[in-house]
Order: sequence, then structure tokens, then C-alpha cells
Amino acid sequence: MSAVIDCAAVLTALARGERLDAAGEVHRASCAECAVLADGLAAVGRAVATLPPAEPPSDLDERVLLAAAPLLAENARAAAVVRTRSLGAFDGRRLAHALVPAILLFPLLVVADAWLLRFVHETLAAFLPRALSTWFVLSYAALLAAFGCLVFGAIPLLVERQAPLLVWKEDHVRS
Amino acid sequence: MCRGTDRDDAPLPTDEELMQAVATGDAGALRELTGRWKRPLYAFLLRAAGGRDTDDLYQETWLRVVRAARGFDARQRFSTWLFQIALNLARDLHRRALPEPVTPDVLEQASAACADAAPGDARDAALDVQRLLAALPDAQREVVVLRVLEDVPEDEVARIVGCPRGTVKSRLHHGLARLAEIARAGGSR
Repeated sequence: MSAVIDCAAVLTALARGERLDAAGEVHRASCAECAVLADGLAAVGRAVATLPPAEPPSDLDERVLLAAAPLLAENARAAAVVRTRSLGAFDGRRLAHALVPAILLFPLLVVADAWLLRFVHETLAAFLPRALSTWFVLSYAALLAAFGCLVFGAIPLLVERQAPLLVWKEDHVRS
Repeated sequence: MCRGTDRDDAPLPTDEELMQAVATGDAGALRELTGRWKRPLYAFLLRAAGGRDTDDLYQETWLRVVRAARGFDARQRFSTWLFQIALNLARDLHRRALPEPVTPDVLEQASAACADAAPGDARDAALDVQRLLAALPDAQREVVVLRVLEDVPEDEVARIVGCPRGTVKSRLHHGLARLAEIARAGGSR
């Protein structure tokens, strides 16, 4: 422990008007700096020790509560919005909004992919053995199907993750 | 802050739990919080702002608490957050108001009042302490008020005023040395 910390403890106690314990008295007697400041701080301590307790006006908290009422109402409203939208109906609606366009676009995606695969198969078959080009195209089709499953499977997860962010954004835009 | 929050054994909700309730609009939780922190907060504002507009500062502090309740991080200590808000308001008041010049006359008044203070004369003591504190630069006064008058631990003072603990020690030391110097000058006349 450094001398500054000891001095700080002794000087703080003196400034509060507290009596020093034995260790504090020993420090004061042996520390030149504390000895110089002790008398002055003892006078400060006498004034601090007789300080009256700060007495707030009795109606102050009532005034605070009255002034805070509109803010509390705003907090209550915001909390209710978050509660009603964070679960249940809110998630279902968001999920539907995300899934419906994806499902509507799905047949178009399948047709386009089928056309693309047929074109690639015909092109490859022009200069590769037919079995090899079929193998290439089937491998590519399997890869496309796997990506498609991942993308559509991720939609509910993304909706769930984004829901709190959307609620937060709506709240902040409104407020 | 060392007072008002040591309630681990009691069934009462913590300050942080009450803040979460305030964030949902619970007026009862706000009433409980203001009741717990009324005296320490009022006393701090009284000393930190030099006795000016204390009621207004007190009310504005709580309004800011309610306004920011939804963003309050419950892992944070409520008392530190509360006193940070109060300190910022007191600083704003000092910035807005014309600074009172610390002239030799002011220092002489403060030291004379300190030397003449009769024990038990509480009103005079309050004035003396206020005059003494007025003689300190803002940064030193904040630390002296928190550490000496409000008994806030050093590490929490550091968080409230937003500076390292070493700086708090240094400001406290210089502030107390200056107070001792003023008081001694009054006693030697």
C-alpha cells in the first residue's frame, strides 16, 4: 500500500470529522504531509460533522411521480407492444409474409432449373459420352436441390432472428 | 454506492429489478426507487450544484431515469448510473450559469466562517461547507463531495465521474489539501 493511499484514508477521515483509529494516529504522527494538513482538515471536519441532513421537501417525490406519469405510460405502452408482437401471432404473420412469396416463386424456380439442366445436358452431350454428361447434370441437380432445401429451411430461422430487431425499429421510429 | 443496496438477504427487489419494472411503466417501482435514493441523491445534488436549483435537478434526474429505463442494462449498478445522470445535470448547470469567481474575499469568507463555526450550529456549518466547496475547481469538488460527504467508495467515484481511480485519488488529495489550506488560513488570523 502506497503512502498516498494511507494519506488519503487519514485525510478523508479527518475531513469527515471522524476520529482516527490507532493506525491512523500513528500515520498522522509519522507523515509530514498529513501533519501539515491535519489541523486545517480538522476544522473542515468540525463543519462537516455538524452539517444538517439534507432534507428534501416532503412533496418532492409526489411532484416527481406526477411529472413522470406520461413517461411511465409511454414505457408501459412500449412494453405492451413488445410483449404482443414478440411471440405468437406476430411471428406467424412475419413467417407468412416471408414464406408466401418464396412458395409462389418455387414452381418458377423449378421450371427454370429444369430448363437450365436440360440445356447443359444437351450441350455436354455434344462432346462428351452421354452417360458422363448425365452424371454431371445429375450431380449438379443434386447440389441445386441441397442449396434449395437450405435456403427454404433457413426462412423461419431468419424470421425469428429478425423479429426483435423489427419490433425495436418500429418502436424507435414511432418514438 | 455503499448504502441502500445491501439487500441480498432481504426479500425486497433490488434496485436493478425495480428499474426493469420502471421500464414497463410500473409507478410503484419508481416510488420505491425514489424513496430509497431520495436523501443521498438530494444531498449530492445540493452539494454538487452549490445549492442552486436542487429541486429541479432532483426532478430532472428522475425523469431522465424513467426516460432511459428501457435502455438500462440490469448488469450495471443502478446507483452508479443514477449518480452519473445527476452529476451530468449538475455539470450542465455549472456550464449554463455564469461561474462565481473565487476571489480572495470569497476564500477569506469561507475560512473565517470555518474558523468561527460554533459546534452544533448546523445552519452555519452547511453554509461553511458550501463556501469551502465553492472554492474548489469543479473536478475536485465532485470527487470531494462523493468521497467525503456521500461516502462513495473510490472505485465507484471513478465510474461516476468517468476517470481512472488514480485520477480520483489525485483530485481528492489536491481538493482536501486546498480545503485544509483555506481552513488553516482562517484559523491563524
